[in-house]
Amino acid sequence: MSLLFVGHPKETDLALFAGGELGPLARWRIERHLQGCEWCRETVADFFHLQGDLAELAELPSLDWDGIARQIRERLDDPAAVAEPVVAEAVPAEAPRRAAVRPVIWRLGFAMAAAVSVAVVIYQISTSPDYNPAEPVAELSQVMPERSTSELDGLRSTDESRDQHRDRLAREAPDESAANLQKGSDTGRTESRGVGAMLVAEGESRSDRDSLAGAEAASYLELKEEMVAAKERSLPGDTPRQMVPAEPPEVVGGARGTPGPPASNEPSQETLLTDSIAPAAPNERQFRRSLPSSGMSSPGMTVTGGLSIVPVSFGGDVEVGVAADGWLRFRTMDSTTGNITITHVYAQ
Amino acid sequence: MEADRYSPVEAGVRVSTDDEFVEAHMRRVFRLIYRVVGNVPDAQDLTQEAFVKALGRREQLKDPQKVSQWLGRIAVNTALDFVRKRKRVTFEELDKAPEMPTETPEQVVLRSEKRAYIEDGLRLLSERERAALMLRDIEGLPAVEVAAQLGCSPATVRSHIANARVKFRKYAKGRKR
Repeated sequence: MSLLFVGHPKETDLALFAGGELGPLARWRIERHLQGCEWCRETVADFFHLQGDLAELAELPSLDWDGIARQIRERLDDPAAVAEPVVAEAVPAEAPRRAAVRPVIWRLGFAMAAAVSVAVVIYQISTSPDYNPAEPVAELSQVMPERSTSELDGLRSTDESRDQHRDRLAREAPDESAANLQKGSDTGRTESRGVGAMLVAEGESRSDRDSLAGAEAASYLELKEEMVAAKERSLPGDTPRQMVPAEPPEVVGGARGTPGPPASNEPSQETLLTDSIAPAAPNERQFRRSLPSSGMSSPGMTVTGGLSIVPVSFGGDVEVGVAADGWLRFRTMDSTTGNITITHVYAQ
Repeated sequence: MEADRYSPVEAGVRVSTDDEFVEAHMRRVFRLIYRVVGNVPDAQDLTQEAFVKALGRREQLKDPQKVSQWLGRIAVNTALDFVRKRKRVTFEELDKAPEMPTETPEQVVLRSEKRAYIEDGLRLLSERERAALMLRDIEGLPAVEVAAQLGCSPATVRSHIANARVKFRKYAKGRKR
């Protein structure tokens, strides 16, 4: 074995060596190796014999060169013949059909693979334990600081009763009303309005106005009144819940989709006095600012309705309204842009 | 052996008519194509095809000194396209193989058998491997010239040639067993 090679040279290098296609250095290395390697010498000899065999094909058959030249001239003189390539004659008749079918098969295969992939992804998402399509986390996080979102977990625990309410509506209300209600309760509802809209006393929410159109409104209102009555029976006396603030919360940007900085992790500082507010009529949903926000970094807050809810802290100019029908409304105003963001959460 | 086999065809510079152009390059073009396609009828048709292409693209020839390389590349590409579409090479029929006038009948049979053996081995190669091997080992073109005819780099041509020889060697050893 040569010192220049750990093993034998590659067979392809020996093939190039036999044909004289290697450079000087590679050739020298192989020559040194061949001096001590019988196996590689035989391999090179085989390649030399191969070249000798191929020389058998070197001779051309006897041809009528004049006839070939004449055919070429005739073809050059004939525009139609020039336009039609000879190669096309050599292609079998079934080849174009096969070539046309193959892309269709490939396209179908790719389409099926894509469809299966999408189905698998959807299945995995829908079966994930973290996935809950009825949970309005994303909407809340846009208008509320992180701590407030976590504190609303108590409200989210009402999913079961919310589902019962939805099922009841589906049974009793027309399909469209139930669908609208389900849509609103599933995702929460966030609306951005201009400064002019802020001055308008908010009565019915847009979703309610939409869903209460026409003859469906009567049955829907009746159902809501019935629900409120049942709720008042189950809550005989609202007790005041008071939490002393340790520091004012931070200001939250109210523009939609631009959540403000997270609030501090201190305990909630808001005071929620539900007994100071007269119980609202079943369909009353009026909001008002009860506390002046001037000179205060903490927002003014008014809660209407007769429900007792877990107090939450908010930053910025935030109003919370609890309607008698169980809807929570978070209204925030961006002090810079003047946009108002309203989020509706159903918290029966 | 034709006079214009390997030498640069300077006639391409001075020819002024299509007839002279065809006459000057016809044999070489035919040889290149014949080495790729392996039979005379296809080689004749493709030779016409190559000349039609070349004369239709005459303005693409920037350097008249390289007319031989330019035309050879057109010829080889035409042949390779043909072989690629037809998926296989049809070599010359044994009865049409050139015969030496001094050969005995036994020698003719032996030579025919040897040609069949070689052609079976060549069918194992890809069209580019086969073209590179034929142009290098039969036509005797340098690897750089083969690369120019095939339109690829010399390193690629050397790879084609080496792979072709290795495949053919394995085939030959299998036939001997």
